[in-house]
Amino acid sequence: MRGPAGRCPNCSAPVRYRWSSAVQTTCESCRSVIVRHDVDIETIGEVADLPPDASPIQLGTQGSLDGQGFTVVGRIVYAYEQGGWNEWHIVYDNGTSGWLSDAQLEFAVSSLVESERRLPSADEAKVGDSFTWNDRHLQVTTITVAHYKGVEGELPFEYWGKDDVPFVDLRGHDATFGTIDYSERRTPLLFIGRMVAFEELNLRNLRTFEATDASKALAGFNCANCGAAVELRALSHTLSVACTSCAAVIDARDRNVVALQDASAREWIRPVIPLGTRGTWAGQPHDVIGFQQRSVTVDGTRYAWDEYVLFNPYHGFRYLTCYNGHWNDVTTVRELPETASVGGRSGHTHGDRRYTHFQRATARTDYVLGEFPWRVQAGESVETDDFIDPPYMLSGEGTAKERTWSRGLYTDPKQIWQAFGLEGAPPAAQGIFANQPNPYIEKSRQLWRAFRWLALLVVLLLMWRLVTAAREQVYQERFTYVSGQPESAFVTPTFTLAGPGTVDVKIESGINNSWLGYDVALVNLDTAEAHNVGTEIGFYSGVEDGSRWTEGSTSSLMTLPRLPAGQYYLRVEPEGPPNGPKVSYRITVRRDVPDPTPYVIVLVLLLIRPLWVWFRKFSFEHARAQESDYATSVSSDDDE
Amino acid sequence: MRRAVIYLVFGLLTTGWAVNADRSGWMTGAQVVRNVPRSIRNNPGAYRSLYNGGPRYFGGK
Repeated sequence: MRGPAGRCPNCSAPVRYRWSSAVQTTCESCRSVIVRHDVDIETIGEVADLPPDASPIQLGTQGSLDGQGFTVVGRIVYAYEQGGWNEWHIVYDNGTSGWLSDAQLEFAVSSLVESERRLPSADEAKVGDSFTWNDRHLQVTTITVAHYKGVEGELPFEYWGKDDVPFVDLRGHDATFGTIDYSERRTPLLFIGRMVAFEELNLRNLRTFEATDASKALAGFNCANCGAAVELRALSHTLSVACTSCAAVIDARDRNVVALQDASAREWIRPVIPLGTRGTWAGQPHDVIGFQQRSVTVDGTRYAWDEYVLFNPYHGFRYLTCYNGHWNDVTTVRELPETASVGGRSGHTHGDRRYTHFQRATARTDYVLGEFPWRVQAGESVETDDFIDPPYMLSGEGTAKERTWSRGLYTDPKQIWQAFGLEGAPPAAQGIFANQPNPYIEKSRQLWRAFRWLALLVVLLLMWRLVTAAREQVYQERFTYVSGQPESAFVTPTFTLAGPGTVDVKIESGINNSWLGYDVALVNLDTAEAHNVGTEIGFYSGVEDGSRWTEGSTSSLMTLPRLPAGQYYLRVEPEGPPNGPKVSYRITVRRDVPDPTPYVIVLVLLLIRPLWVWFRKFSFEHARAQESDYATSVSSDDDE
Repeated sequence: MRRAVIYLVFGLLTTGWAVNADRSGWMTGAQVVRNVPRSIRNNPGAYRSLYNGGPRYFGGK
């Protein structure tokens, strides 16, 4: 890959090309911009010193993506009102080249593509517009007018004296990234690639950020308002910093631009994680560099939450948010969420999760402290939409020019306390948060799973009993009861219970508008042991107001406990009303008749716990919904 | 998880109770009298059941 060498036409210093196809390079000695024409090289200008930079990438950095190695050979530096970024020119091992964008440690790799369709002009593109080029579906997320700040190293074209350049950034739902570059005024250029995580790039020969590094020169200045020392831990990534002494918000690029905050806020807003705290979070060391309190006002009630900015010089920024003791670990998302209907509501899909809309609000920044990688200002507002799929929450916020998406993971505060070495215990969480996992879901799932197995066991046992029970009829006889007899008691002939089991004694009568009572004793002939039971049969019917009515029953069933096999007889003593009618009735005795009732009782008992946990789960979700835009209305009585 | 195990154990115990209740006759209100004289086969009226169940229904319309 090493290209031809030459000497700088301006200072005669040796110039060596890393990439044989490079058109432009800068002299490392005199910073002249050198353009190569075949074998001739000429100086076309001189670049100023590049602005201080905190990118971990440098010329000569090597890496690999999807198995393809590359080397960083040049870069273009851009700045815009909300920050800046580097376009690193990378040359792959196969000789082709592309671009590695580093926008405050959010990385994207792309390359120039020929568009099969006309590209929109810079004026035509609007945030939210969708385009399809070369089977890539992309949506405009950011429109930026950037200022050219400088170049270094080798570029595939002449590029050194550009003015303001419009850029339209696009995202796809699968981390596809696109940029329309309007630096060539007549022909927009389309670059398509994808967003990548730092670790995906497998970078080597990176800059280091040790204390001795020259970049630490950026690390502090004095507050223009109060004179106190202000540290910049995120170096040039910091765009705004709020002085920890006077809370004045300082423009990190122009440190004389100061905006004052409500000083009294410092008295009642205190970060529970002190700024400057370092801890290991998400497997990487992170500094807590910024804090802001934001709020939304709903129906006149202010709901405020805290946000902490965490910084790692290689992996970038992430955020910890806290509302009423509920913590979230928040990162920006690379893939553009896709609009979808989730559970009958508007929602988004992202990755393999489906998020349902929870709340739309106008979030106001009330108070800031420390460093921020964007231009922050107390009192500014932004429209936010939250979508939930616990334990995750997808949040979109933005303006007409830019819409960003982040994903929060509900986090146990004990992990945060441990990671950052905080003293004491985290404050207890109050209420139920939007993406707080419902603790009853898993319990409910486990209980219903256990219930299914137990219910199956109960039903199988019942079926086994119904199939195998003897139900043996051991005696049946018809009798007649005549009122007024001196002695109504009688005994039956003996009968045999062939095996042990419960005994059912059933009495069926043709009684009507009368009653009969029975004292029944089942007597074991061998043991002289009697089991006494009694029952009443009463049945009444008639016609009243033209409609027939009935009451009572003409039969009764008595169950005797498990009895051993043997010879038995019944002693029966019927009793009816004086001068009652003559009643015919039949007595039937059966052995080993199954009774489903205990099984039903067990099923009911087993249902209690899963139903209770299901109710708690439902109540949890109901309470969660009450915090959303979809809360069920409360009656005026409840309000009073 | 622990509570699910407790629930499972509770379920097995109650299932065992159901099987036993079915086979042994549960909720039976029978009263047992031992040493019933054999003579009642000849004189059933001489035996008085000790059963003392609920009050009989004498109602009706």
